Amino acid sequence: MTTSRPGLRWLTLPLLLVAATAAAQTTEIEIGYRWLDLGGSEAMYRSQINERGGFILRAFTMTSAADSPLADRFRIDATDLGATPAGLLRLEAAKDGAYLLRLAYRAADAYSAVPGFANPLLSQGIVPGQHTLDRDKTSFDADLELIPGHRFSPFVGYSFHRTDGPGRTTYFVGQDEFRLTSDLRDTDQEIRAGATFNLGRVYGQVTQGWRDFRGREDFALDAGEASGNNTVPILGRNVTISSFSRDSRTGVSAPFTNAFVAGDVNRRVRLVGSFVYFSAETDGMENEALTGSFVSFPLGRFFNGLTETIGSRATNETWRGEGRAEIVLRDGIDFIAGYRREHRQLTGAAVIDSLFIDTVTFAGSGPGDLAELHDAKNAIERDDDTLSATISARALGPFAVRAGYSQTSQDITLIPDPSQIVLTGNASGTFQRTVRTFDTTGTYSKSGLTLGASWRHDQAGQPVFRTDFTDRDRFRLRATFGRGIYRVGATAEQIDQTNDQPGVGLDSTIRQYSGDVSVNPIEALQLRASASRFKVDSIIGFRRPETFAIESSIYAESGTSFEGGVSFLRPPFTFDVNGGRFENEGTTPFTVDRLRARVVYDFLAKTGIAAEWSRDEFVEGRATFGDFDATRFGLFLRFRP
Amino acid sequence: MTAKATGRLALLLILALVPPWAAAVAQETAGAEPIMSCGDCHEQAAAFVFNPHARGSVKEGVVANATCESCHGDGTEHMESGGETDKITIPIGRAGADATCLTCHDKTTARRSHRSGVHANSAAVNCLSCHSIHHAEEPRALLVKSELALCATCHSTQTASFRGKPFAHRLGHAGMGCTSCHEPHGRAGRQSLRITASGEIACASCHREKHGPFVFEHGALAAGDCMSCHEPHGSANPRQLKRATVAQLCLECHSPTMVTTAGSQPPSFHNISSPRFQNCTTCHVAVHGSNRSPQLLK
Repeated sequence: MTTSRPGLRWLTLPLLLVAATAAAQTTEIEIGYRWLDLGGSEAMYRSQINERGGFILRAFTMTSAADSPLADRFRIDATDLGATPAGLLRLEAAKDGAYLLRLAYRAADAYSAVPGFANPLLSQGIVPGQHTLDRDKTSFDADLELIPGHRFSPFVGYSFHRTDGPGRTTYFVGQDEFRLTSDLRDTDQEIRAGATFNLGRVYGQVTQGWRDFRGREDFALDAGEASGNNTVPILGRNVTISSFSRDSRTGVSAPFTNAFVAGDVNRRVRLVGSFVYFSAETDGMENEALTGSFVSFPLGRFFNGLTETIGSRATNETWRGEGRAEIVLRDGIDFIAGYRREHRQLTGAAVIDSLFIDTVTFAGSGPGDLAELHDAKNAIERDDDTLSATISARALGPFAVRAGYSQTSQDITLIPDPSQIVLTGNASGTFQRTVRTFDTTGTYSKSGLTLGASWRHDQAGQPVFRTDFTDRDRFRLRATFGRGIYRVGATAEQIDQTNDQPGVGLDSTIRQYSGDVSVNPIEALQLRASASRFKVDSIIGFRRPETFAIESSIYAESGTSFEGGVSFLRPPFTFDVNGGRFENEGTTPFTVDRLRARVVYDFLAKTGIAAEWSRDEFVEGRATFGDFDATRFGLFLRFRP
Repeated sequence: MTAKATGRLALLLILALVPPWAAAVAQETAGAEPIMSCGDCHEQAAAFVFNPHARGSVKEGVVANATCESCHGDGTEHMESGGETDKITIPIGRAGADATCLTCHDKTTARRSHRSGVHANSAAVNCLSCHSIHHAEEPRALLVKSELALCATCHSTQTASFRGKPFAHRLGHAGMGCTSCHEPHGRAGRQSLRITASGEIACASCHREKHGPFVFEHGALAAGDCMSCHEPHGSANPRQLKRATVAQLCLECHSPTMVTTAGSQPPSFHNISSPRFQNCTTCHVAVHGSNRSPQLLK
C-alpha cells in the first residue's frame, strides 16, 4: 500500500539548510537493492520478518561541525529506508548556547496474517485467520530546546503518529461471527512546551502538553462471508447476513502536566519530587446497519435487521506524586528512601440505541420492530501507594552491594455496568492487595572476573486477579571472565511464583540459562558462540466453561537457542557471518533457523561494495500452514565522500 | 516507503552533501595555521570535534586543550615529558568514572538516578563499561557497541528471546532498542521502565490507540497493565501473549472458583472444545477496551 509520509518532507528541508552551512564533516552512505526468494507461507513470513525485495537506503550518516551563525554542529542518521519493515531518519542540529533541535521520522509496517490466529476454520485448511492487518505506522517527533545549559531553558515539542490501512476482523451478532473488512485511520498528535531550570543546587523541569487522538474506522462485510462461522441452524434457523455497514469515530483529548524538581540540601543529601497529572476524555460515535437472519437469546426473538447508534464518553483522570531522598552516608554508600502515590479514576457512559427490525418471538408471536435503549455506565478507581528504601554500597573495593525493601498497597474499586456482569459477586467490588518486596544484588569484579548475584522476593496478600502470585522469588546469577583474547560468560535465572489458595493452585517456574564465549585471536578477527535454554512450566486451576468442572491449565515451553558468528574487520575487506537456531518444544513447538552473511570490500579509498545474504526458515511442529523458507540477497554501494 | 520516495530521498541527500564537501576541500587546500594542541600528537583529538563533549570548545576545527583536560587533567607535564603516560590521567573503571563522568552527569530526575540506579557506578558495571568517549562504535550516547549487542553482554537470556522467538519487537530497526522501553540509568524494578511525557507506560508511546480511555475497559488493563497479558521480550504467540493460545490466557483469569478475584466471571457456557470458541478474541475483538460494547464485541 502507498501512503504519503509527511514527516519525510519536513525533514529534508532542514537537512539541506544545515548541510549548506557546514565546514567539516564526515559522511557515509550505503544504498542498494535486495532480492527476495520466498518459499512457503508468505503470510507468516510477512507477519514475522517482512523484509521485502526492492531499493534500500541501508545507512546514511552525516556529522558536521562548523562555526556558522545557523548551526555549529549537526548530525543526520538514516537507516533502512525503503523495502524494509521499519526505517528511521533522524536529524540533530545545534548552536551552542542557542538551541538544540532534534527531528525524527519513523516508518514501520504492521502486518499480521497468521494462519492459526483467530481461525476457527484452520482444521478445514482455510488460512489465514480471520483477524489480519496490513497497516503503516508513521511517526514524526520534533523537539526544540532554546538556550540549553542556561539557568532557564525553554523547550517545545511536537509528535505525530499515524496508523492507517486495511484489515480484517470479525463481528459477533445474532449468534454467529461474520468476517468484516476494515479501513482504519488513527492519528495522534501531541504538542508540549515547558522549561528546564538549573539554579545550581536546585534544578528541575516543567512540561505542559496536549494530546489529541482522532480515530476513524469503517467496516464492511467481507466478500463471500454471508453465512458466518457457524453453519449449523440455531433453533431451526440459518443465521446469515446480507448487508452490513458500520462507521466508527473516536476522539480523545488529553492535557497533561509533568514536573520534577531536585535539590541538593548539602553535599550529602539530595531531595527529589515529581508530579504527573493526566486527564483524558474520549468522545465516540458509531452508526451500524445490517440485514439478514439472526437469533437473539437475550431478546428471546428472531430478527431480520438491526440499526444501532452509539454515543459514548469516557474520562480518565490520573495523577502521580513522588518524593524521595538520596543520602550519601559516606563516599560510595548511599541510602535512598521515598514515597509514591498514584491515583486513577475512570468513568464512562454510553447510550446504545438499537432497533431490531422485523422481530418475532421463538414461538412465532409478536411480530414487529423492537427498540432498545441502553444507558450504560462504568467506573473504576485505583490507588497505589508505595514506600521504598534502598541502601547501596558500590565502592567496597571489588564488591558492590545493594539491598532494598518496598511495600505497595493497591486499592481498586470496580463498578461495572450490569450488562457486563455474567455472574454476580465477582466482577464488581473493592479489591485490596499489598505486595512486600525485598531485593538484593551483589557483584564482585577483579582481574577480569566478574560475578553477580541477585535475589528478589515478593510476598503478597489477597490477589486481585486469579493469576496474581502470593509468593514470588527471582534469582539471577551471572559470571564473566575475560583475559587476553578470551571472554566467557554464563547466566542463570529462575522465577518461581505460587498462589496456594484453594481453587487457584498457581505454581509457575521459569528457568533460563545461557553461556557465551568470544575469542579474538587477532585484533581484526572475532569468533563468538552462545547457547541458551529456557523452560517454562505453569499450572493453575480453572473452571471449564461448558461443564463448570475444575481442571488444570498447564502451559509448558522448552526452548534451546544456539548462535555463533565470525567477524573479520581489516579494511578494505570485512566480513561478518552469523547463524542461529531456536528450537521450541511444549505447547507450541517450532524451529527457527537464521543465517546472515555480510561482506564488504572497499575497492577505492572512499568507495566500496557490500553484499548481504540471509536465510530464515520457520517450521511449525504441528500444523505446517505457516512454514516458510526465505532467502534474501542484497548488493549495496558504499560511499564516504 | 516506496522505491520512488527512496529515490527522491537519495537525491536530496546527495544534493545536501555537495556544498559542505566543497567547503571542506577548499579549506584543506588553503592550508591551516598549525596550532599547538593535544591533537598534534593524538589523532583521535581531530575526530573529537564531533564528540558531544567538545560542544562549545571547537574553534576553527580544533578542540581546545581545556576540553581534554576536563577529564585527563592538566596535560603540561605530559607534553613536556614527550608524552609519558604516567603524567596524564586516564580514567579507568569505577574510580575513573567517579572522578570524571559523574562530576557532570549526576543529575537526578523523576525516573533516573545515577546514584541508586540498577547500573550505578561500581567495579562490575560503571560508566565506562557501556560508554566509550573516544572509540564509540555507536555514536549516539557514545556506546562501546550497538545497543542490542551491548545489553546482550549481560542480559543474554532476554536477547536470545528477542532473536529466537518468532514474534518480538523489531529491535535494531527504526531506532528501536532496549532503551526504547528501559531507562538504563533508572532505578530498580518497574522504576527502570520509561514513561511517556504524559506519565503513561512506555507501550503507549507507539500503541496509543490501546490506551483509551474506554467506556468499557478490560479489567486486566484497569487493575494491571500491558504486561498482565503480554510478553514484550518475544513470544510464540503472534500478539506476544504470555500463553501460546488466547483461550488459555483468558480462562486462567476468567474462571469462578472459591476465591473472589476481579474478572473471575466465566465466559458463559462457551464450549471451548469447539474451534469456534478456542480463540476468545474472534468475537471479543475489542479486548483492550470498547466504547460501544459492554462485552468488548466491537
